[in-house]
Amino acid sequence: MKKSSAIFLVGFMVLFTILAGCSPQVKETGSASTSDPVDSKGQDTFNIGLAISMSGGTALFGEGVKRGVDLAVKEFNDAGGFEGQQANLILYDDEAKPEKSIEIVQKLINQDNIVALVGPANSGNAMAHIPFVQEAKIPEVVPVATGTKITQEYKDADKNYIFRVAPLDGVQVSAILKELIDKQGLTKLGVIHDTEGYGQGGREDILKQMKENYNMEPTVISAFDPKELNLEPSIREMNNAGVEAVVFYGLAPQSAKLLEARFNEGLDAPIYATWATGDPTVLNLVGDLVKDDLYFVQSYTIDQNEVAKKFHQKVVDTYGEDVFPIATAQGYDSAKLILDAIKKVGLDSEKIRDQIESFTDFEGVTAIKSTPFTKENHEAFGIDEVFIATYNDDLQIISAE
Amino acid sequence: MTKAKWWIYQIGIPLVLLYAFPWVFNNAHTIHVAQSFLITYIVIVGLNLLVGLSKQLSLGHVGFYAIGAYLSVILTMKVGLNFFVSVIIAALVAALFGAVVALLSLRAKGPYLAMVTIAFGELVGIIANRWVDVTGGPAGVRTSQPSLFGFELGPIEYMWFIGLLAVIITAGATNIFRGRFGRTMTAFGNSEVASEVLGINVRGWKILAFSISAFLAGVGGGLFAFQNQFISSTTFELNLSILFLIAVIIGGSGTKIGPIIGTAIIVGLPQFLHNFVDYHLMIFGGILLVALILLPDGIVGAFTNLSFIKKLSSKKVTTELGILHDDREATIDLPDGINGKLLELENISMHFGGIKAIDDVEIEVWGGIVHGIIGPNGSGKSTTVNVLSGVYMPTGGNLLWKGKNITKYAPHGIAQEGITRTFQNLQLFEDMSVLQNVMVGFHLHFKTGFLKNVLYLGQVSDEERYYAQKAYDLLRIVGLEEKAHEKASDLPYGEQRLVEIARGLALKPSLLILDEPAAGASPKEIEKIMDVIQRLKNAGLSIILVEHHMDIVMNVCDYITVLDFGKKICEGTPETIQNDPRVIEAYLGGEEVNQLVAGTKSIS
Repeated sequence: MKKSSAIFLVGFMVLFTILAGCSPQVKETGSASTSDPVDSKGQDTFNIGLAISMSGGTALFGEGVKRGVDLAVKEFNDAGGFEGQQANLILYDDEAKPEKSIEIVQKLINQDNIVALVGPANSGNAMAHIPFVQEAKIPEVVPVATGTKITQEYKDADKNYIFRVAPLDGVQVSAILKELIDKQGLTKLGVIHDTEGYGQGGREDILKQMKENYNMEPTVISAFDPKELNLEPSIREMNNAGVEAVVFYGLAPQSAKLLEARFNEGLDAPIYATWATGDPTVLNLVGDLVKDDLYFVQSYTIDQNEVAKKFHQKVVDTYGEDVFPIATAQGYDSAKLILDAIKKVGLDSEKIRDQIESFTDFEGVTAIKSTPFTKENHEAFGIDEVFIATYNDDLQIISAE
Repeated sequence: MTKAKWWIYQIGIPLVLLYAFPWVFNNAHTIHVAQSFLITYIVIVGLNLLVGLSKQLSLGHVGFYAIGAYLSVILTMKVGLNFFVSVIIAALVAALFGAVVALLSLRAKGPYLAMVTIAFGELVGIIANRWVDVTGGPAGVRTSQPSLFGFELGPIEYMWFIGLLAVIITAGATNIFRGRFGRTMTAFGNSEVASEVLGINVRGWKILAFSISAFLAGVGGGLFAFQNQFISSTTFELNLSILFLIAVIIGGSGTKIGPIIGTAIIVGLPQFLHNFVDYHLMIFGGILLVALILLPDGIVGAFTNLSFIKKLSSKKVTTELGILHDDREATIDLPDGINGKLLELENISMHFGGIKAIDDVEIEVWGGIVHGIIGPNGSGKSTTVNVLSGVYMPTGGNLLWKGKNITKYAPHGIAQEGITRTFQNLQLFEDMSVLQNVMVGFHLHFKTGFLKNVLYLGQVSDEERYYAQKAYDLLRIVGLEEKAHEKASDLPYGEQRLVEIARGLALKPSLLILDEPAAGASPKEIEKIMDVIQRLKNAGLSIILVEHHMDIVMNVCDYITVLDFGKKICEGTPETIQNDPRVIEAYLGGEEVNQLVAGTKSIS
C-alpha cells in the first residue's frame, strides 16, 4: 500500500515535470502584428490603450485625463490619422487597485493589441503593471501618477518604455523646498500627509531631500487617515510646534478638509501643497477658503500662454466645462506624444518608443519642452517646468511669482 | 467502482482541463485571469466551509489573505525560503490567527461575529498600510519570481501549479464535506446546543473551522503575492472580504460546487464589463444584488431546488447508501445497565437574578428505571433538564454522576459521561437528512482523525458505512427507516421527536433525558413514542422523562418527582403521587386533577 502510493506519487511528479517542461510559450504579442484577427478586421484602425481610475479616490484625475486623451485622438483622426489609419482609444477602469490595473493592462496588451498605453493615476498601480508593459515592449506615458520610482524602475534597461508627463514627487518636493528653504530661508517646516500611497510616497521624498540637500529634518510630521478626514488635530500639532510653513501631501478631498480645519483652528503658517491641491474639487468644496496663504505646485495654468488658453477653450467647447484643467492638459500631451510619434514612425511600438524619447520638436499645451525626454531622463517636467501657483482674488489659479 | 469514479471526476478531469487550458487559450491576459480565478477559488472553498457549513459569518477574510501574502513575501525575500514553503508557513500562521479570532469571538454570533471579523480585517489592513518598512505600504513591494526546485515558474507553469493545489484542496474539501467533519460542522451550524449535548465540543470545532478557513485564505494570499510579483496594501481592503462572502453566497453556500460558480462570477463577470467604463461597477453590483435577491440559496441552491434535479439527486442518495439493509434484527447498543444510584442532585438551585427557577432541589435518579419529573407550568422542569444536561450551570448545589461531581461540566462534557437529552423545542439539524442527524449522534464513537478524513482513507469510508448502518438500525427501532433520506425538517412534529430520540440513542447513553417528548404530537404519534420509550426501558436504559401528558407519565414511569414553583413537593411511585394531596393541590385540585391523573384528560 505504502510502496505503491510512493511509486504513484513519484510517477505523478515525473509526469507533472514532463508536462510542465513542454509548456506552451505565452504569447506576448503587444505590437500590432499582421496575423492578429483584430487587425484583419480592417487595416484602417489601430488601438491606443488608456488604463486609469474612473472610480475610486482618483476618479477625477481619470476623468480629466480621459478628456485630454480623447481630444488628442480626435484631432489625430480629424487630421487623417496615420496613412489613413484611425486611432481607436480603448479605456478600462483600474478602480484604483493594483491587481485590477495588472488585469486590464494585460487585456489591453494581449487582447486589444494596443500599440501604446496612457495611464495610470495611482503610483501603486503603475508600479504593479509596468513590468508587463516593459516586457511587452509597449511605450507607456504616465499622465498623473507621481511616484518618483515609476520611471526609474527600468532606467538601466536597454530601453526604458515608461515615460511621464506629470510633476513627479521628487520634483514637486524640490520645488517646494527650493521656495521655502532657498528662497525664503525658513528652517521650521511641518509636514502633513495622508496614509495612502500618495502621502506616504511624498513623505519619503520630503525626508530624503531635506536630509540630502539641506541636512535638515521637518520640525513635526503629522499623518492622517484619509477615510477619517479629521484634520483639526494635525493643524493643532503644527501650531503647537510653531512651524513657519506647512508642507501638505494629500488629494483633493483631504485638501478641502485641511482648509476647513485651518479655518476652524487658525494657522499662522502658509500651506505649500502638491498639484493635487490645485484640483478644482477643492475650490468647489470650500470656495473662498482657498485664498490666502495656500500655494501649490503646477505645471500648467489655463492662462499661462496662448496655447494653454486656446486648449482650455477647446475643452470647454467640447465638454461644456474643464473639470480638471491640469489633468486634461497632461492627458492631452501624453496622448499627443504617442500620436505624434506614430505620425513620424508608424505603428511599431518599439519605434514609437524610440521616437518619444528623441523628440526635438514637440508642441504640447503644458509646460512640456520641445525636447521633453532623453535616454536618461523620462520625465517631461523637471524643476524648471514646474512652478508655485496660488489662487488670486477671482479664484483663478495663477503663478505665485 | 465509486472510488475510480471519484478519481476521474475529482482529480482526472480537472487536471486534464487545467493542462489543456493554456494550449487552447494562449494569451497572457487569459492566463492571468485563470490564475486569479484559481487563487480566489481556494479562498472561497475555505470560506464556504466556514460560512456554508458551520454558519459562522466572516467579513475579515481579507485579514488572513493579507497575512498569507505578506508573510510569504517576507519569508521568501528576507529569510530566503522557497516560495512554496513560505506560502505554507504563512498559511499556518494565518490559521493560527484564525484560531485566535475564533477564540476572541466565541460568544459572538451572527452580526456580532461579523463585527469582530471586520475589525480584525481592518486591523490587518491598517498594519499593512502603515508598517511601511516591512510591508511596503500602499506603494507596494516587488516579490521574486516563484520557483520550485530551481525551476522558475512562468505564468503558465504558475497557473498549473495553483491549479494543482486547487484540485488537491477541492478533493480534500469534498472529503470533508462527505465525512463526519462536514457533518459535525453542519450540525453545530444548525444547532449549537443540540451538538453540545451529543458530545461535540462546539468551541473547539468553531476554532477548527476558522483555522481551516483561515489556512486556505492564507494559501490564497501567498499565491496572490507571487502572481504579479507585486503586492500593495491597497489590495487588502474590506470590499475584498465582502466580495469573497458574496462569491460564497451567490454560488450557493454549503454546496460542493458553489465555490466554483461563485468564483467564476466574481472573477469572470468583470471581464465582460470592462468595456462599460463608466458603468461597469454599477452593472456588476446590480447583477450581484439581483442574484442575491432572486436566488437566496445561490445559483447551485436554486438549481437543486428544481424538481427534476431534486428527483435525480434523491435517487443518487439512495444508491450511494444502498448498503443499508434490513435483514438482521436491529439492536440498540447500550452500556451495561447500572442498578445503583446514577445521578444525584444535591441542593441544586438555579436563580436568574431574583427569580428562583429551581430552589434547593434534591433528586436521586436510580439506574434501570424511568424517572418522571412532572409539575405545572413554570414549576422548573425545563430548568432542571437544562441543569442536568449542562446547558445551565446551577447557581448552587452539586450534581453527582455515579459519585463524580459534574456540576461544572459543559454540555459536551456531560455527554461524554453518557448523559444526553432531547429538546422540547425541537433542535434537529435542519440541513441534514434524518439518517445524517442520527449519524451525528455517533460523534463520540468515531475514531478517524482530521487528516484521514481529508484523504478519505479506506478506514474512513468503512467507518462511515458502519455508522450509517448503525444509524439506520436506530431508525428502524423508532420506526422511521423509510424516511431515512428525507430532510429532517420536512417530517411531522411527532416524527421529528422520534428522530431526536434516535439521535440521542446513537450516543449510547447511560442516561437519556426526554424533555416533553409528546408535546405537539398527534395521539397516534404519542402512542408510537410511548411504545418506543417502553421498549427502551425494557432494554435496560435509564431514562428521565419530563412530561405534561399524565397518561404517559403514569403508565411508563417507575418513580416520579413532582416540582412546583421550583421546589420539590413530593416523590414516589405513580400510586403515591396520584394520591398525594400536595400534588392534587398543585394541579388546581378537584375533579380535573383526578381526570388528569387517570389519564382521561391531558393538560397541554
